[in-house]
This record gives sequence, structure tokens and C-alpha cells, in this order.
Amino acid sequence: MEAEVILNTRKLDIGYDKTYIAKNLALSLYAGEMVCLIGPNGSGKSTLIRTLVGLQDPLGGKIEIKNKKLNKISLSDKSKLISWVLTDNMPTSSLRVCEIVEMGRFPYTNWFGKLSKKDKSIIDNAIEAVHLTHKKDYRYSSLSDGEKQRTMIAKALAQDTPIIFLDEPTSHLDLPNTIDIMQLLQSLAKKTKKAILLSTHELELTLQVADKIWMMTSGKLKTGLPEDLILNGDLQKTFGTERFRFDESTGGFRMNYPVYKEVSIHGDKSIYYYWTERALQRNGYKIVENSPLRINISGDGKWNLYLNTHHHEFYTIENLLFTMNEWESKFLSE
Amino acid sequence: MKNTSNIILFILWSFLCLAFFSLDLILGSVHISLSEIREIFSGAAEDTGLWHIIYNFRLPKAITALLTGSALAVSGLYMQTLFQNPLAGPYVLGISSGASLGVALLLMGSAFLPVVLVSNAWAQVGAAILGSLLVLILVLGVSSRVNDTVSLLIVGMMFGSIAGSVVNVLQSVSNADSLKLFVMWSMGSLSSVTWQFLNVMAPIIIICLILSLFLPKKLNALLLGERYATGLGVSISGIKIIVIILCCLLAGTATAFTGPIAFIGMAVPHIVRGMFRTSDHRIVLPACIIVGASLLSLCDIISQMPWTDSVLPINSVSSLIGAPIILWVIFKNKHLHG
Repeated sequence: MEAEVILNTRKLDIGYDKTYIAKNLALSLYAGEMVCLIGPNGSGKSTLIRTLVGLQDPLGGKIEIKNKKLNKISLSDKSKLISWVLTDNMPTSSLRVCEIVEMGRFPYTNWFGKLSKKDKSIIDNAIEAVHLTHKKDYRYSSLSDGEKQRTMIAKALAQDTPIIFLDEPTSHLDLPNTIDIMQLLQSLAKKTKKAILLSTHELELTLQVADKIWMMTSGKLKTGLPEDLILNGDLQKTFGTERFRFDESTGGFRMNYPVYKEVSIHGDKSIYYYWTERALQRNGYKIVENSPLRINISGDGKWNLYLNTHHHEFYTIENLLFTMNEWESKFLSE
Repeated sequence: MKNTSNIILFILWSFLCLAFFSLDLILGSVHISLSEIREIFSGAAEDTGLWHIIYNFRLPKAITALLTGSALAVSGLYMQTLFQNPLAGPYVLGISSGASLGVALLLMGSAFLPVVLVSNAWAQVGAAILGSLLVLILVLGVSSRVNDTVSLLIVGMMFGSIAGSVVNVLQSVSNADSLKLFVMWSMGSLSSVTWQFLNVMAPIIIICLILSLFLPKKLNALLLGERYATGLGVSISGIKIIVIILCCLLAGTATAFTGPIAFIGMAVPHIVRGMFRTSDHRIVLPACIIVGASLLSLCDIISQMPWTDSVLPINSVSSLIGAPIILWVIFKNKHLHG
């Protein structure tokens, strides 16, 4: 079954004045999918989002929402099609959570803003969806950053539009809150059949939750499933540098540390092996087959270090590394 | 009206408003008893001395207090929402000074203008509105560049003092007759408003206040910031123009006849938000109308210094009441953002 196309662009050029940031973009957003827009700083993620919502004019091409041209849609009709959550420009308001979410119903109410029973239940559901029911009468200014962000997401939900855009919704948040928001958006896309597009810097997390990825880099935009972008090497090309690389096997980033010492490890590939390897790499060791310096890892949290006739047993990696350094300067430095 | 406590507050303030209005009629340097008032209004004591005092002096003054109080309070609320700044208000941002400048130009430029125009109530209002519009547009232009509360206030004060200096320059170069006209105006109080002036002032202010009652929903959206308001389908430039025009009509008209009255415009919205415990304009705006009218009536009663012969300038009384409220706002700023 083909999902419904809600937004698509043809030959879209974006940028400021006469400076093009990206050219000839052909993009589609489908109902029920969460798309993550990623790219290095300054690659034009915010410009793309501002252009797609109509806060900024495109330099060429067209944007269509539900087969209507974006610039032909009136402001009030657009408010029933697109809603957005922005990072910047957060209002320092004394409004209460429920009052802010209520504004999401603005496009549907009369001049006085009178809420019907249906409006009220939509508002309550939106607040519940972001888990803020217990704080609905709190003032916005008294909320934590994560709760503020969730309030604005609830406002967007109450607006009940087929598309929600979020410009870096997690940039001020700590990891648990970030994961929380990402999962929330992902499940909302599935449950409510909305198209959700968010820009983010949380690359590792994005690869786990995004239905699709839009990756901006030096004037181009690549789209695809996260897995495809990993396998064809696009992610490594965009984000890898001399100092770190994208690890295709784990979906995370690995630092490239300068290597000047050698060690060999023996033992089963357990989590002990994995984390010992990480610590050694950080400390400049290259793992080789045959080095005079040997570590034997047993699965029960014991490390045995051998050098020529010397031998010692350790119970933490910290002590292991300490002795390795000692031996290094005593026996191997000439 | 969300809950019963708000309804009770509205009823309470309506009663206060009525009470202050009545007291404003009764109290003054000439003692008039309640029974005499009843006689006057029933028409039994027509054309007596007391009838003249009530009908030609105290009644227009009391009505002016109501209208001016409401007008200043609502224009203060508009400015606080427009600038997203809790310390904005017609007096602080120099809008009142702009109105003074307009009137000064009219009265002291009279050497070049026909006499009919100078003594005309409409001309005075027009000059005041244009003057306040000029300052408001200048302040608005600057505010898009400096975006913090304190800088904006300093900018407002600067424009205010520039307008004041221009008025001083005009005073020193103008002839004795027109100078006298202007000094009379600048010392003006609520009592200088006659029925002739009220005929101009009342329709303008009442129409603006009625139009204001159609705006709360959009003003609420502005509280979320301009980009979110756009997302809700509000045309920002449209609502801004309407709010600026209403703001200048209200503040300009009020100032045109009474002279600058300090702090009412800035303080009343804070009193209302504090009492009604909300920033929702659907409640705050009508409440500002009632509370503003009540408060300026109270100021007027105090300024008459009942049971004495002296009269205080209304501007001093409103400052004595308003300025402490502003200080309180600055200290407690956390919850009182627009």
C-alpha cells in the first residue's frame, strides 16, 4: 500500500538573497513517517525548514502541499496544514501550559476563541500525549527545557495538521529528554498518520528512530533509509573526518586516536573484550597479533598482563592501564 | 470567563468603578450631599449653583476620568504585548510626550495657522494622535534592533526627552499669547475637559475600546512570539498596524485633553494580571477597561483633596500610586511577562 504524499517539492532552490544553499531539490514527505534532517552546522537545515513552511521564499522551483502550491495557500488555510516548533525565539511567557496548547486550536475557533467540546478534548489529548497532564496549570516560565519543548509539541498536536516541522527540538535537552522526545515523535507519526520532519544533531539516535533521513551536505541533499545511507558510505563521507569516523558495524562514531604503542589481546569477544579495546585505543594502543605486551582477558572480569617474564593480574581496566604505562617506561622505552 | 473567581472579580471591580464614579461626583472643595445630588439628577434643582457645579464641572470631569483611565490602561496593555516587554507603557515609552509635542506644535505654531484650527477640539486631538504615532513608530523601529527590556526603555526616555526639548524650544521662540495657551494645556487636568471636548473625546475612545474587544484572540497569539503567531494563521503586519493605530488613538486622544498622566497605562495591566492570575487577553483586556477607569477615578478623588481647598495635579497622584507598582513589577518580574 502506497502512503499518501503530503508534501513534495520540484526543482526547489533554497538560500538567501542570491546565495544558493542547495539547488534542484526533489523531496517528498509521506503520511505517517518521521523524517530526520541531518547535516553539519551551516549546511542549511534551518533554511530548508523555513522555506518549506513558507517563512522564507524559495529562490526557485515549487513546493506543493496536498497538491496545492504553497504560495497560493492563504495564511489561515496554511495554519490547518502545517504547524511548527522552533528552537529559537522561545517566548518567555507567563502563560500556562493549557493556555499555550489551547492556542493550537486558534485556526478552528471563532473571533473570540471560544472552544467547543471537541476542541477541549483535542487539547486534553495533546497534553496527555506529551505526558504533561500533571503540569497543565503550570506557568510556562516555570517548566524545564524538556517540558517547554513538549508544551510546544502539544500546541502543534492540538493544531491537528497533517505535517509538523520541528527545527532542532532537542538541541537544549539532555540525553534522557532527547530520547523521550524522539520516541514520542516517532510514535505520534505512526499513531496519528502525520508527516513529521525534524532537524537534529543527534546522529546516533536518529539512525535508530528515523523512518527516513534527509542528509544535507555542501549544497546536496541525500535521502533514504538510515540503513541504506550507512551501507552505501554516504554517512561516513558526510560526517567522517581525520579525527573520527563513522563505525558502520555499530552505527556510532569512533574517534581516530593517534597510535604509537602496540599490544595484543587474547580472549573471547565478550563485552569485557569490547570495552578493554576501547580504553586501549583511547590511550594510543594499536591492537596487533604479536606484541611482547600481551593481555589475557577472562570473561569473569580479570585481566592478566604479560611482558617477557613479568606477569600481573588486575580487576579493573584503570589498574591495568596504570601498570601498562609503568612497564612501558621501565622496559620498552629505549 | 473561565471560572467563578474571575466573574466575582469582574463584578467587584464594576461596583468599585461605580462607587468611585459616584464619589468623584460627590466629593470636592464644595460639599454636596447625596440628597442634593438626587435632586439635581431628578431635575428638581435645575439651574442652581450646585447644578452648575455638578453638570458643567464634576460630571464631565468624572466621565473624563473613566474614559482616560480605560484608554491609557488598554493602550498600555497593547504596548506590553506588542513589545513583549512588561515595562512598556504610553508614558514610559515617550508616547505621551509625542502627543504633547503634537499639541505644542499646534498651539505655538498658531502664528502660521488660522485661529479656527487652533481652538478646535478635533485639531488638538489630531495633533496629539499624530505626535504619539510618530514617537511610537520611531520606538518600534528601534526596538527591532535592540531587543532587551532596559535598552528599549532608555530609547523611549530619549525620544520622550527629545520631544520635551523641542517643546521647550518652541516655548522660548513663540509669542506670549500662544505660549499662554500651551502652558494652560500642559498644566491641564481632567477638569479642563468641557462638554465641548468630551463630545470629541468620548466617541473616539469608546469606538476604540469596542474595537479592542475583537482583538484578544490575536493578541494572545502574539504572546507566543511572531513566528508562532504566523504559524497559527495570524498576519503579523496586519495585527501590528491595527494595534499601533488603536494604541495611538487611545493614548493620543486621552493625552490631548488631559495632558500627560503617568504610569496608569503601565501599571493597570500588571494589577489585572496579578489579580486575575492570567495573561489571557480575553480576560485581561476587558478587565483593564474597568480597572483603569476605577483607578483613575480614585486618583481624581484623591487629587481633589476632599474637605480642603487645595487641588493636587493628577499626574502626581497617578505617579504616587503607579510608580511603586512598577518597582514591584521589576522586583517580581518572573511571573509578569506580557
